[in-house]
Amino acid sequence: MKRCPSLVDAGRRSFLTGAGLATAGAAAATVLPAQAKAAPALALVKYPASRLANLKDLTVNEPHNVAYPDVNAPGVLLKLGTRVPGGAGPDGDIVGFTTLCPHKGFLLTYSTGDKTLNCPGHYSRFDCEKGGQQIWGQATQNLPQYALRVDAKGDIYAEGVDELIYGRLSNVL
Amino acid sequence: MAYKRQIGQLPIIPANATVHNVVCHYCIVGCGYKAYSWDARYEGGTAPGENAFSVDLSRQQPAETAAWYAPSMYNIVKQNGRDVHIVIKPDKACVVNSGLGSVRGARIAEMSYSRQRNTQLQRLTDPQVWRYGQLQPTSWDDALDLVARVTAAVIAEQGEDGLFVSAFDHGGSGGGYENTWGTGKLYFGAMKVKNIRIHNRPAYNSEVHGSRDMGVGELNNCYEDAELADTLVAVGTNAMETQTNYFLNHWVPNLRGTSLDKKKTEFGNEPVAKARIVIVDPRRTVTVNACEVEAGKENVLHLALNSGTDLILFNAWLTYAAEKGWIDKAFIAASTKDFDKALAANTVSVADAARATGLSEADIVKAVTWIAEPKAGGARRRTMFAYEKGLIWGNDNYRTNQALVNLALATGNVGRPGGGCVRMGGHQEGYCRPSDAFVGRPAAYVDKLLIEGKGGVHHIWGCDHYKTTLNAMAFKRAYKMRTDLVKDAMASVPYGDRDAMVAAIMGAIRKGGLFSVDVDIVPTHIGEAAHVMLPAATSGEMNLTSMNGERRMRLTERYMDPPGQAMPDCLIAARIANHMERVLRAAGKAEAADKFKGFDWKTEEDAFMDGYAKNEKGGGFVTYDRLRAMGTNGFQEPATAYTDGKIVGTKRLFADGKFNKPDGKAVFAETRWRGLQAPGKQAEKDKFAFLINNGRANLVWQSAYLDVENELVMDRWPYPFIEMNPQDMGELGLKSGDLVEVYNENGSTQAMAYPTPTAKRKETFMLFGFPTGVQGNVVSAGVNEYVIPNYKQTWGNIRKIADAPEGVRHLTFKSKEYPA
Repeated sequence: MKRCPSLVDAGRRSFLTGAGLATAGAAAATVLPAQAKAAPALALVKYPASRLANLKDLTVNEPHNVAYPDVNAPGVLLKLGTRVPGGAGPDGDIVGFTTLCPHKGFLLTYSTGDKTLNCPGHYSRFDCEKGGQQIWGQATQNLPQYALRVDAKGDIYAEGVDELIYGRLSNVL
Repeated sequence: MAYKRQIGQLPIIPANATVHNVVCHYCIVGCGYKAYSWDARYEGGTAPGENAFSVDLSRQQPAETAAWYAPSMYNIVKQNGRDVHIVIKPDKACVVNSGLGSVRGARIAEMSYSRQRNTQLQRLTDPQVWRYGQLQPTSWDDALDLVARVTAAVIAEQGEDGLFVSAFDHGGSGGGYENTWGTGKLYFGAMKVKNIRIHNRPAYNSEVHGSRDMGVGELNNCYEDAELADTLVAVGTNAMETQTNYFLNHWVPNLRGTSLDKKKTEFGNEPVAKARIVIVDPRRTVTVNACEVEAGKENVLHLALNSGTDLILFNAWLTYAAEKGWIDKAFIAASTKDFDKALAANTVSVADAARATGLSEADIVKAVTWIAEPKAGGARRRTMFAYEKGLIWGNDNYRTNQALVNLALATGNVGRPGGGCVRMGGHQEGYCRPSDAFVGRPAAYVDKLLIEGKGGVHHIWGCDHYKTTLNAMAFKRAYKMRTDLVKDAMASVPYGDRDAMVAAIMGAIRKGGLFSVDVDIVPTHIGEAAHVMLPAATSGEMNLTSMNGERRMRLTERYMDPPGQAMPDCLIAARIANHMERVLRAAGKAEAADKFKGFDWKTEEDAFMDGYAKNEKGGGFVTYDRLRAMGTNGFQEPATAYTDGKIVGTKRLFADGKFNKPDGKAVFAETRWRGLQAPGKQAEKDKFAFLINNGRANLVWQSAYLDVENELVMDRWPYPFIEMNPQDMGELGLKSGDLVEVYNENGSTQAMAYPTPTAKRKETFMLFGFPTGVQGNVVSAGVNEYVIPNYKQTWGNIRKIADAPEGVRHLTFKSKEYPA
């Protein structure tokens, strides 16, 4: 894998573009107010079901860039070529991951040689064939992976993420 | 599948959260963190005015943001009896780590005791005593009465030499100035206990006697020196895994060339370039890999020498540098003595060194050229020498340590910017005790004496010999037998009859039994043998002071309650002293009882003021209030003044060219090469097929005692890995993850095979000190003349036990190296 020194900056830029998209509505008050109304909230994040690609868009061992749950959360779809635990699609070999390193948020790059995602910031490595398990590194999470569904037309949908994505305290902003 | 938390959101830190200073209590580096806590019933909001960061959290935050925290940095704990949310995240303003969190420190919150979120429920909450065939909870007074009575009875029969002690001597968790003073005042002040050992070695000794005896204290530089050096020399240190953020935040900028401006500012017209690095290590580590990625292979010289041959390499470097005139004659004349004598004794040719080390002559010369050849214009090359367990726990510790310091002194690299000859360190430091001079040198080989049946009572403080000592299998066998004798005797009388109980225990001790008192925060493996377990508080559950590898002292503030009745070690020591005084006085021994006066501390701050403030150099300038105000940057010891509301510290030791000797002159040492020094090592090497090199790993470094209950860690390392060359694995019929037995004449243990193409044939590396496979079982009892263990030079055979068990099958066994 060739190391690209501009990756980190590219990662930063991608955060900034479209940053105005999410302006959440009224948020809960911080300081305890003297009087407040009870407001129900869900226990879990409600994920969108987003079409990320179609089966025919994927080539074995070539990363297909996507974003999920929104445009500011870069990720990747991979057709690994061999069936893996949690793999989607007819061959059970399609997986999707965030590409923001859960350590410091640097953009991960894919190594076709051993099917890993690697962080140029502090050398963390994640195995795409093992559910994003950190092979070695600084992150205190394994790599957030997408819950994928493939429909009859071959459209690939992401419907959830199994760990917190770097840079957001709610996976859905 | 890999472990996932299924956490999609975290509570937001409100703007009014309480903030405490925290220093990571795991490794020596002591990264700065902040603990944010607030009442459990609410949280902040995404609007800038509603959170602690004053930023809009409804937007994605950029890389390296301060406004994010991982699930591992969050928990719910008790604070003054109330439930609070807590977030413990790295502090950007700390000069040590600049906001970086290691894979250990970034789990401090998750590794805290939380009944609310079921983390670390293994923590000890009550004093426990052996009652009705198992450990049962009791009150502090009941447990300490038993401890004091048995201890006093043993001392009455055997003298103070009948009391054996194993105690931490470091900073960070389980240590700190408060707790080393508490235990030190008890065993070296009130008593004079000489059968005492330290947590990771079988005697009471320094790991770096060699350097200290030359007048060169071992933590003599500052972390910035790694940014300023022309050349870094790393001996037996795998810094990226075991001093992670020191490496990432201070070595990497120099290897990348991003500290050049700092060099120019510091050194004016002196020629500067990005660093080159010489790494002396039989194994290719991830540190070597990262250095190559950052500096380019042409600037990294990895000398993969034959295990244990470092000393002859250093002597050859010294010889060569002296021949070339690449030495600092003015410094040698002004600040040292015995250079000529040492040089004459240590002279070794490059050819001889090449033969012993297995390195090429060209590489040996290239390395010393990088180290010592003057720069353009004749400026002295600035070289920083760093070493750790590869040297400290390696062959001929004392002399090898001295041989490296010889070279650093000869090249004028101690006390100067961009220099230093330093150990990298394990825990933080936090040593403050009355003099240990009466212990003598060599100190008693405590493990050996315990195996031989000596002593009647054993007090253990934050040590787990079953996991982290040498000759561990033989030790465990003997220890279990001796403590079982006492357990059986205790079962023969009613617990409530204290006189009969003490009599029964003493009867068993006279037959070779041993009464074991274990003070710890968790139920350790050696705790299986204990008759009394006393629950201690850890960092953050008490105020705790320590210093890091550049002598940077900080106060970690108490941010949560200790579990149950747990207390700081210093107060446990004080309460033991109180009970000893009472028991001795009741027995009519007023003079002995009086020695236990002076332990009326109510808080850890009392212990700090009694110990550090009165006894350590510059201690008079230091108080909790002042440290609190100095935040996570603290000051570098020793303190020299308190000016303008700040404690003034010392950036580098020996900057004035005066060393720790009566005449201020550092002394060069004679360090002749004598092969594998520890008894039995050469024969073991000749007899067994595999080098069982061993050491630590990123994920569990100085945190394994809590990691055993951490899902992320135990998912990755359910068993200790043993890195093996794939061809060796093939010959033994091994697949990735298979369980193997490692065995020799010392004992046997188990590990999980990890194929490692960069591993040399017949040279393995096993994770040290891991609970599910104790490497120390196969380490021989052989030590150096000062009873320093030699863990690294161990040889054994390997055979398959079983295919990878269920907990291993989902694991990745890909290379740990970053693909450049």
